[in-house]
Amino acid sequence: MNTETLPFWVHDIAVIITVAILISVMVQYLLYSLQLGFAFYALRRRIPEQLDIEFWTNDNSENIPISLLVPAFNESLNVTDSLESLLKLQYPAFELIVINDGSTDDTLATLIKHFNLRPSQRVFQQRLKTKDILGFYTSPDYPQLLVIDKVNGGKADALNAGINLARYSIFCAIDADSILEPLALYRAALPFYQDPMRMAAVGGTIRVANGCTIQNGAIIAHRTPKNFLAKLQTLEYLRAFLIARLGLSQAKSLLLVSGAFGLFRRHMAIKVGGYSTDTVGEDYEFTVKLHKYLLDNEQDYQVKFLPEPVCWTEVPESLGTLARQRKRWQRGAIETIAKHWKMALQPQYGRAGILGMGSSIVIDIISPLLEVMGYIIVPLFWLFGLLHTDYLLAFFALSIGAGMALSLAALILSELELSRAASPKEILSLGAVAVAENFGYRQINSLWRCIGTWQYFRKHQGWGVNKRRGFKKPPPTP
Amino acid sequence: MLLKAIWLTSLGLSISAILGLLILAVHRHGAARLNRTRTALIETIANEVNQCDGAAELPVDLLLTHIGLLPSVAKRLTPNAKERLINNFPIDRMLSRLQHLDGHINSLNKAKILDVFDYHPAIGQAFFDLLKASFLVRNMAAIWLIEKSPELNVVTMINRLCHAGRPPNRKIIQLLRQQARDDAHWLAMLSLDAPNLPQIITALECLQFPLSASQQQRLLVYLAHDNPDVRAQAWRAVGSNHYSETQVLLSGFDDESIWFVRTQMAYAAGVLGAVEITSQLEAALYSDVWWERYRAAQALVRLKGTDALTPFLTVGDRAGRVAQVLLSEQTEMTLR
Repeated sequence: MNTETLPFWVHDIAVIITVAILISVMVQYLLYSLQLGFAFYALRRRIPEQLDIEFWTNDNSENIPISLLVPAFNESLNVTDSLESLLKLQYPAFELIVINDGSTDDTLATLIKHFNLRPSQRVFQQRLKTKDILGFYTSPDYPQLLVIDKVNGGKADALNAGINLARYSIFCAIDADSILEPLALYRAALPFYQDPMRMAAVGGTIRVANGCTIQNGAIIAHRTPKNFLAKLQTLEYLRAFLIARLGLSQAKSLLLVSGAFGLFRRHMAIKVGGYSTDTVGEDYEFTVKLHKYLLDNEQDYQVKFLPEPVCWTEVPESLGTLARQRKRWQRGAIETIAKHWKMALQPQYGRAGILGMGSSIVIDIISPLLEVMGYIIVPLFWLFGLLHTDYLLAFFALSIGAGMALSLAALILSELELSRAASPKEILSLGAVAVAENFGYRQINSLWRCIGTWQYFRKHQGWGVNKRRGFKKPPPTP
Repeated sequence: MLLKAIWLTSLGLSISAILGLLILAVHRHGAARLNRTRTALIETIANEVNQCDGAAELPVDLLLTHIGLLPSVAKRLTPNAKERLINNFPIDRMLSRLQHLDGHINSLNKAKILDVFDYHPAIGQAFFDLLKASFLVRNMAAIWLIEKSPELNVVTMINRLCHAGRPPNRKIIQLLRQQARDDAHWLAMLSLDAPNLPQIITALECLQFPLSASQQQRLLVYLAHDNPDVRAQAWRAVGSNHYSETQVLLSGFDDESIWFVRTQMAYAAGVLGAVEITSQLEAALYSDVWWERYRAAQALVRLKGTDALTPFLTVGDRAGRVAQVLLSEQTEMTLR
């Protein structure tokens, strides 16, 4: 196509659009780099907790009792493994509340059979409104276990029911398909002990359990998953938690304490009205709501992320399930931002409003749209001769090269500070994934996020079906 | 120009990151191989010593060449082989070898090697070397001395290792306490006079065992200390020591504004049987802080039994809640 015949302003518009896309990608990476810097600083100056843990273990009377809340909907495949791991936690004062949120599979029957549950009674004050409760079950073998059977109302509603029944002042929300490391609760509860006046919420790291071998609720062998999609997500989780969450936590602007493993104060949860049932990103919305409440009331507080307490979870291994999950996360993020947009870039909401909300808007809303646009428009402009080759190279080098550098930096940082990979081979395998993810996976992820944004505006609701494979068991001994 | 800089920088960054990861993997691989080689060498030497029959067959040269591995080798020896090694090993050659390696082998490891042969006179020499070592190594050495040699009179050594202007490692005092040794008591009391707060707090944390009357008197100073951490630990120590002289001070419960000091005061009140502050403890059941409510409830149960909490049960407020938790815990304990 002869572009010399086109009016001059068409070239100008092409350049302006490309430069806007380049700037947005640069801002996105600048934010990521800032988070990486903060994460590096946080990891370097963290105090070894071994002695404190030791001291605390020896002195049980100082332990803060915690209510573990586990909402379960159609989780019959993993729920017993997960609860076994929770019952084995090295923490002396906790109760375990499982909320069967109207499962249509045999989750309740599995629980009754496995834990020898009996119908029971509980008197409680309904501080948060929830769907009807059908019954309570307790076990003579596990006195700390309480199972609530209720009408389906979604994860948020189930957590609210758990909060109503919780006996202790701190609760920990955990997904029913997750497994906590034995010391995870100790490590996560430590900030509440060290800074009791200010600590409002604490989140821990989530890692991918696909590939790990689980026996009696305990992970007996850590392995990088064999499934390529799960491998990609291993790196993604590493980057999200070790760079983004830790960096934002260090910058005092962490807006998301994951629903899969987070500790909160019960009275604060009740004050903010519990988890919102009208959003699919209930954990994100809840944390933002908590920030807003505390900042509105001019309270000195902290929301902290810790890299050491680890919760293992199963991630989707099929493209369809992963796509549904990512679209749902995107809807949840936009719902939260839209609901609390008044916090964004407002000085009275401090770093949470400016850095936290600001980076959410850039990373969650603007960047995926412009990135996808860039992958389509920039090559087209170049093909039609509207752009110089340098623009094309700059766009691809920036979006792919910088992305690769960041992923690898996260991996190096994680290995240097936490040494989680089992062998040099695993490090190299994850490194290869960090390179490979930039050729297709990242682009498709951005596309899912754009679709998620579209679904939000089309008022699409629901979680979709999440197909589970179940945790990998060790081979039976002959 | 700017565009070129952008793509060249991105490319440079990604290549550097790839190289960084490769270096890390190679380093890990090297470290793992070194560890494997070391373990294999330890196994080989231990096997040779286990299999030899008499003094003549003892692989002395091999042991002297790898003298640093001796403590690990000794752990893998059979009792007979260990005895043979101790009886037939040329101590003089070993001492000269250790002297030769001075600067290449740390003083703690040197002490551990000498200990394999129960060669305690030389441990003393190694100990003097240790005094020049870093604080961390000194603390490690003190812990090792306590764990390894409870029968040794190591009090002077521990004291000198720990008291070089730094607070003693908490583990050292904990270990001494576990062994029910007077040294812990003595070390903690020594630390009470320390010039810095962390050391005083650590010392107070350790005073969880009976004190003499004069030692208890020294605690009184810390009950009115400016620092709340010191006050809290002092009250805790008072409670643990059943120091009844301080009952009168508990009337100051309401004047104390820091919650974690109040929790320790409540604990002490319960232990000391300070019934005169029952009303203050009942008021503390309505505190904003869960732990203060909990400790106050515990103290009330200690003072007056579970009946003390019964009036609060009927009310669905925070006092009722803590009463409910505590009574259910009491019931569970009774059932057990």
